[in-house]
Amino acid sequence: MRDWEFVTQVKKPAFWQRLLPLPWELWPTEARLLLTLIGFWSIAGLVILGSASWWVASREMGDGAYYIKRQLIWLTASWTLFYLVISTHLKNWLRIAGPIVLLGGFLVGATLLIGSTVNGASRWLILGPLQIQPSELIKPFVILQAANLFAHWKRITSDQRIFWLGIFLTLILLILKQPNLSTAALTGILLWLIALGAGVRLSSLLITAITGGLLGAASILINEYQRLRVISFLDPWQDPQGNGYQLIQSLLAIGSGGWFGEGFGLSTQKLQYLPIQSTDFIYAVFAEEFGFIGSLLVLIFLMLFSFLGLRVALRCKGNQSKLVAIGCTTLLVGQSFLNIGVASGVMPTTGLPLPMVSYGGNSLLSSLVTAGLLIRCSLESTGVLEGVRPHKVT
Amino acid sequence: MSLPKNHRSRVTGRKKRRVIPFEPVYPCRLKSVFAILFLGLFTLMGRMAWLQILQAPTLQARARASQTQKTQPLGTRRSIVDRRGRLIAIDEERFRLWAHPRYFNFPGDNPAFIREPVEVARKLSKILDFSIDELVARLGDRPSGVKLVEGLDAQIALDIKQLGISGLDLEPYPQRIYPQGALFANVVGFLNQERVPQAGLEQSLNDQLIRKEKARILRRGADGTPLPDDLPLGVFDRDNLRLHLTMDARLQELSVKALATEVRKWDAKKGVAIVMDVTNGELLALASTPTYDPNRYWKFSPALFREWSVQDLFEPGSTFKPINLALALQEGVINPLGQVEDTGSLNIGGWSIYNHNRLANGVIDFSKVLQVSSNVGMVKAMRNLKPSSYWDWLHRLGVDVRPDTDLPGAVPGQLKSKEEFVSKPIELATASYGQGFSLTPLKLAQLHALIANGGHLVKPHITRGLFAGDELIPASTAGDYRLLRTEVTQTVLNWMESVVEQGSGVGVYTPGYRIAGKTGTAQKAVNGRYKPGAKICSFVANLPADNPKYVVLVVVDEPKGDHAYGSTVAVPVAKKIIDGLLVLQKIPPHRNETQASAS
Repeated sequence: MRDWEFVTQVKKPAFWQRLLPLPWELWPTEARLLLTLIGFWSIAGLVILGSASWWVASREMGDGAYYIKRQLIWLTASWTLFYLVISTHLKNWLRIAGPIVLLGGFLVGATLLIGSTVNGASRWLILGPLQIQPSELIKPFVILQAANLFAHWKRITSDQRIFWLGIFLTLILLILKQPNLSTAALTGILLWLIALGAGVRLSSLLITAITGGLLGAASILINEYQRLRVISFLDPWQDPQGNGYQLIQSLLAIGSGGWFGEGFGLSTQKLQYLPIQSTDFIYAVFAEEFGFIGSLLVLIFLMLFSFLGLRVALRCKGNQSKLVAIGCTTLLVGQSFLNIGVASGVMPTTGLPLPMVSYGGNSLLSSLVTAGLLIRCSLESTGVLEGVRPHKVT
Repeated sequence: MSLPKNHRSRVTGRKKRRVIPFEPVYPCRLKSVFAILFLGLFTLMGRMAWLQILQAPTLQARARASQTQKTQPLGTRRSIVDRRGRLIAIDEERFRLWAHPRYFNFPGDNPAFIREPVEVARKLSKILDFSIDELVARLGDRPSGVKLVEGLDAQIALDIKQLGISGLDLEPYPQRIYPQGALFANVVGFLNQERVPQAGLEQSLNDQLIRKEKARILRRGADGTPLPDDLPLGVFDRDNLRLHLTMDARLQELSVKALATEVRKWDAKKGVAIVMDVTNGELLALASTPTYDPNRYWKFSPALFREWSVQDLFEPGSTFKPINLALALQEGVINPLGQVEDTGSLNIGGWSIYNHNRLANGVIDFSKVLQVSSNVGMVKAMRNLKPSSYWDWLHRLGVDVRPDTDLPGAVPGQLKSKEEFVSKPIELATASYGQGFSLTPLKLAQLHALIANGGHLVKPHITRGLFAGDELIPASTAGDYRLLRTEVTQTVLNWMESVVEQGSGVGVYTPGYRIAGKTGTAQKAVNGRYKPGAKICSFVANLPADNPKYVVLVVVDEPKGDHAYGSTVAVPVAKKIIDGLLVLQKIPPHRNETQASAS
């Protein structure tokens, strides 16, 4: 109760402060910084999306602001969810994570049967006006459930381990079957990194990594579309009009940026040279407009973000919240890394959105929930919130 | 650290398991995850430096190469219009259809699917005038770059475009069309298949007719939208200048018809009719026959592609007599009221000179000389003029000089050298009735314009220049190069008027109008010798005689038949042209007989 008294002393009963789960003065520096960074990230993302999508939107939709308007709606929804996340005990999220992963896996399976197919991949479930992408929305819950699983890896029974690892594997295979190699790979890498952070034996991790690598290789060999992408990634100039086209246009955009870029809004490659320029290749537009300086700032931003994420993880009190924090950091930064890697040709072309920048509501919801979990971890690390206290056994 | 209880229950729930101590997550493991992320981002930094600094020039050059498009000018030409703005030559946009069978794909198809040539041919045959088999045969088995059809007009091209078939490419190109057909071929000329001008104004004014189009280097979006970036000034400008002619399409048509009828009737080799504005030298009609259709030039002999009325010389004969009389009057060697005795024949330096009918006309005045076209009378009139002075006058009139004209290929006439002309009396004698020297029909028209306009040598021309849009150009004004006195030319005009009233030119007599004229039936010289039986019949008219505005000249080369004279061959053509001219130019009839001369 001493904590509580302390809080009442300091608290200034301003309206917006009462809405916060923790008084602003008590927010750890990491949490404040992270909140600022995430706010900046989502606003900058909207601005970049505006530039990348305006031309195509005005051509194809008759309204240049078409995508921004929709993204703004999604952004509002996402920030609402973000608020919900930072106001809710991590414990509760951890509790519902398991069932949601199971449900999510079921829905991913459903996309294979009744999903809507875009570009040869069925990733979406149409729900009235909404397009749901279960593989995207499930990601924060995969982190939570992974944290549940790996937090006390050495102390849980092997049937529990096998059950959940099996579930994760099934999930990855289902996503792979959509086919969505990138999300499958991201999910796999995410789980692996959480396991690494959790302290799972290195030999097991190595074996898993090798198995995963073989799995990926097998997938690439079996699916022609993936094989072609890998080949075109290795030498895009071999087939500049065909399989290499996307990557070449992206490289041309990034290269055109030079040191200082063409200036905001002045990318030429976004004028329908670059395909899917408002989602998968949005980074290329950014790089053309802001140049190497812009690219550097983005990467430094991501480094800062991961550093803060690490700080949060280190400061967290529980194993689970540590893992949730490092998992969330890994998801946001790792997905950004993969997206930029694809655009700049260090990785085979796969369709992965750039968090909070690419157009798409599912990705935005997922990203802000993830960011919210990270901040919640940071808030709980103060020990001021209730969640710190030991509770009754689940 | 904390929360050991949380899992104790689960562990204690198992019976055989020993208690595994709680193990916190090691910070070093978390740091290693961070290290991996950091390393990944660091790699990307390197990659960005590689792409955006080291590779930037190469990539940027490649990007610019695909983004910029250099548009070569199509080489369109300006239109040519007549004095009333009627189109004589125009560039129309035509399309060439190229086929690339390896890209054949219908809208809605799977992009990877390739249609058979026969399927494309089936769709095309509904639009084009070709059967499916023909089209398939043309497509052959070449994978791309098949030139399928040429000369498609814009509507058909649009129909093809709307089929939306990939693998079909429409290439626009300009095609020169001459809406008036053969009417202006002799002066305008034509372009060949490669659009190289081959004759006429198209050739001589090629520099003015070519549109000055710049090659444009444009940055474009992938859908073709031009970007307003680094655009040089005026690349989208397209002038609408048109070359305006002085000619009148209706008068030209009428002249061509009248001339062609008569040339056919007399089985003549060729004929020309010229209508010139005497005040400024504008040609209203320059009809020539035979001629050709510039739209199908390949069906005609290349010999037709030159306009003989400005490029071929002929001995004018009696149509030159009024000009000679004007020179004699100007020099004062004859009296306007003077008379000569026509004895029917004369002997000059051993050469006999006869009238055309070898009959003597007795003592006659100069109007009679022109009316009966007396050769002997002319020789006697001109005999008083010093040969050197006569030669100087012929030279001053520009008989042996290339006329200042924009008509392509105009040539100077031929005159004996001054020495020869002065030393041999026969030269002066023959020159006095228009033989022994030669000039072009155009030059003759110019000299008669000089009589008609009071002594000015005008510049015969057919173009008014390049002007924008639909505006019509006012006529140019007369030159100020006066050679003869007005009294002289007026006297000659009066004499010529009598030719129409009671002489050989009576065939053009038009009630209510005063017309001055002179016929000519010249012997035709070929390679310096007179060709037996070959005549050149001509007629020249100035009208209205009281204040001449137009000169009409008709020359017919080698009409066959005993009755082929200027009065029988050339006068009927002139009559039709004059009738048309009076209507088209709205020349009012003359009413007041007592009116004195003007100008």
